[in-house]
Amino acid sequence: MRKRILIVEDEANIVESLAFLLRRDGFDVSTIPDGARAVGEAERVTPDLMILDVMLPNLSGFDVLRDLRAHDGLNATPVMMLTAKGQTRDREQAEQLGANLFMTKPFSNAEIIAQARRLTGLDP
Amino acid sequence: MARSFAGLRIRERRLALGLSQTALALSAGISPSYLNLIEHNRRPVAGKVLLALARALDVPPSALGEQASLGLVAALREAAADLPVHDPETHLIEEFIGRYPGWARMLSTLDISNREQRSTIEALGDRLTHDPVLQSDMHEMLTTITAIRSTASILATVDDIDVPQRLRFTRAIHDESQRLSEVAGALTEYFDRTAAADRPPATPEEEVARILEGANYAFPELEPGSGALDQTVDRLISKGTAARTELRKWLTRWTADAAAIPQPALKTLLRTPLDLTAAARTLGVSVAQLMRRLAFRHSDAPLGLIEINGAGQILLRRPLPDWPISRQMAACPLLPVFDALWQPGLTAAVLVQMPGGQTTLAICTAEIKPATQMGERGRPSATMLIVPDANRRLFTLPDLPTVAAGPGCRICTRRSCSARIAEPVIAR
Repeated sequence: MRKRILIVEDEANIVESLAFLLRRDGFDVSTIPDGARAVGEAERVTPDLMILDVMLPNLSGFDVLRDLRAHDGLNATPVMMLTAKGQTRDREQAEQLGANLFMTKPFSNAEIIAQARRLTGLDP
Repeated sequence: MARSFAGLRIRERRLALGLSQTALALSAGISPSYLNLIEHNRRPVAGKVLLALARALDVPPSALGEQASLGLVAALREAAADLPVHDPETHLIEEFIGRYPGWARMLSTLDISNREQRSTIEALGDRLTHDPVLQSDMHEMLTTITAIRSTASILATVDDIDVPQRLRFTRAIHDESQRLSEVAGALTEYFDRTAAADRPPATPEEEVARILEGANYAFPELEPGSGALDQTVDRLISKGTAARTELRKWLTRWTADAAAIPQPALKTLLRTPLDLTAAARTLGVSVAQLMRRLAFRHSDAPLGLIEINGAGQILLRRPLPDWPISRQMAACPLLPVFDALWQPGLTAAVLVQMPGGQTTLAICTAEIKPATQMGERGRPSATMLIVPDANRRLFTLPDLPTVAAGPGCRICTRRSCSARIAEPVIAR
């Protein structure tokens, strides 16, 4: 059974490269560019990992994460947050809201794949 | 309420004048024993007695009185609280002010200025962190770089990408790099605009630089036979500032250059391509003087100029949009103007190649200002004229050698440069 990843990111070119890399590594990848529709999409896909950008249209990544952690069926979904801001308070907020990992842009492809494998339980 | 310390001042002043207690008491119309009590701060002094003592000591009453110093006591207490690490003797503040009022005022002024500068630095730091324009542009820049980095890394490391996918990745890099150029341009423009609009000039030199730039480095009223220097200085800057002295110096030199090379002679010169050395000889001026006259004039296609002294400090400058020259900038030691210092009398043209590959014509010369008395050494200076491509036609030029240089170590990308003295900021 392939592991499923939901990418919530509005930057089309970043989505394109992330999805390419993750699919190539054997993941089943869905994408959604809008924060307000992220939880609904997660209900449909039931991902093994969510890669969640902070700055999203309509609803921020932090709000999506808050909703996700309050959701009975999805609150245990591992979340990797992506942000272009490496500021301490963003990282702290992500940790407080229950993010499993906080990656700052620009990230390396190898690091993303390694962390995706770890968070989905494929690698220790 | 501050304890009395007027007595200390009275005593200090009396001793400085070489008066005995009896003599001062007599001339102030009080008894010597009362003066003794006042001087030892056992009696307050005010009103008529203070006025009489001040008159006898030939100082204004405020120099002896307490009211004028209460603010100073508070200011020094604040200064002491600002830097408690030195464990200042706060119980002696009044005595300190009484004995050394000048030093006390200076310390207070330094503390106020220190606090103002700290708050400016905090405001600037705060702005860098919270400015919404900067935040948004930085976010956009990092997002774009992420897309380029990730996509380029795939193209470089994955062999079996089908053609349509490869095309999509290539187009993505193209689009994102264009977006990156735009956001970088917007950031540069934003910094330029805010630097010019918000910040008051930090130094007299900066204030003069802004005035000169505002006047386009040209002062037709100071051409030979025209107006007076004083009127121009009055028009450009208010009285009593350090920048005024700097500006006057600059304009005096400009006026001398304009007198040596009048406008009609300059126009005639520029009709045909110019050999700087020959033209300077014909006019009876130095090459550096001719360079200054060429750079410091109104022109739609201006020339840039840097003049340095023997220590490499920038004395004069006319920056160009593509060649910003900051007085504070640690200039690249590879610039040919520094080589020129070693060869006074030689005028040479070279192409300066920047790390990005672009080249600019630079013509350099150096001279030694003669000593004014026996035993004194002459003072060398070097001048570099920066000639944008559009202006090359102004000069007759031999085959030009190319020298590599940079914008200064902190922002230079030549990592293995042997002249590097500081790590680049951009590497971090």
